[in-house]
Amino acid sequence: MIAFKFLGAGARAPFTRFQWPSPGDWVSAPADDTEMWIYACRRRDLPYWLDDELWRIELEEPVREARYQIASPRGRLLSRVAAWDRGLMRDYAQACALRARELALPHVPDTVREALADAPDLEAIAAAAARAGPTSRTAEYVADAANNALHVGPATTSYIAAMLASSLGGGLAAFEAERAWQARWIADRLALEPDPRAGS
Amino acid sequence: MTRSVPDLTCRELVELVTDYLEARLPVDERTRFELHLTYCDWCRTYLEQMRQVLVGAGEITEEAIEPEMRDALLATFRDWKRGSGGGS
Repeated sequence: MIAFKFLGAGARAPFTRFQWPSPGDWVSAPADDTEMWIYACRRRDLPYWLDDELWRIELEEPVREARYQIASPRGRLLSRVAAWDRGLMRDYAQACALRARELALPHVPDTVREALADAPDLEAIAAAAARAGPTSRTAEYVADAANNALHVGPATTSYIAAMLASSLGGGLAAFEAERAWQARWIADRLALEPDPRAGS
Repeated sequence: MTRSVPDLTCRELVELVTDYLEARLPVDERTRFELHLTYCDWCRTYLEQMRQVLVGAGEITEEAIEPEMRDALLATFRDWKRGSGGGS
C-alpha cells in the first residue's frame, strides 16, 4: 500500500528520532508487536501529523487502520513530496487562519464583525479579533490562528482552526470535519493521489 | 453525548513522558501524546530534554559520584522517605 509519512529535516522521525535509510531500503518492525510497527498517513490523516518533510512510503501488508493513522510491520520510503516546502506550509497556515475567520464571523460580537470581515491580511485579522477582548473565546481563537500563521507554523494554526470548529458546536465531529477540509486543501495543492482503500 | 477531541494538555503530557520514553503507553494514549507533540513546540522541547536526561543519567555509575555527593543524595532520600511516612 502506498501512503504518506511526515518526517523531520533529513528524514528523521520527529518523535523517536529514528533516522530513516535512503529511499528504497526496507525498515522492519517486530511483526508480533503492533505498537512498534511503522506508522504512516492516509491522505485524510495528513493535517494531524505535519512536519518538515513529506514522503511517499510503501507499506507491506498487513496494514492496520486506526482513526488517525495506519501501521504496518514493514515499510520503505519511496520519494519525497518536494512541493511540501516552506512556501506551501506558509500558504497552508494562512488558508487555515482565513478559514478560522470565516467559521467565526457569525459568532463574534457585533462590535468587531465588520472589521474582522474587512481585514485585508493576517495582521489586520489578529488586530481586529483582539479588539473583542477576552469576552469572546471565538474571537480569541481567530486572533491565535492569525498570529500562529504569522509567527509559529502550520501545525499549530491548523490545530487552532479545528479546535475553533469544535468549540462552535459539534465537538469531535466538527473537529474532524475541519481536519477533512484541511486534508483536501493539502491534497489538492500537492496533487496527491486518492487513498487506495478509502477514496478520500 | 458528543465525543471530545483527541488531545492532551501539556500538564498531562508531562505526567506521561516517562512511560512514553519507555514505550509503556497503550497505543491510543501514545497516539494522543504524539498528536499533541505535532503542534506543541514546548512539549517537543521538553520531550527532547527528558530524552537527554535519561541518556545522561544512564551513563552515571556509583563509582563516578564523589563521596560527598553520594552521602548528600542518600541523606536526601532518607529525609524524603521519613517525610512521606516511610511508604514505598
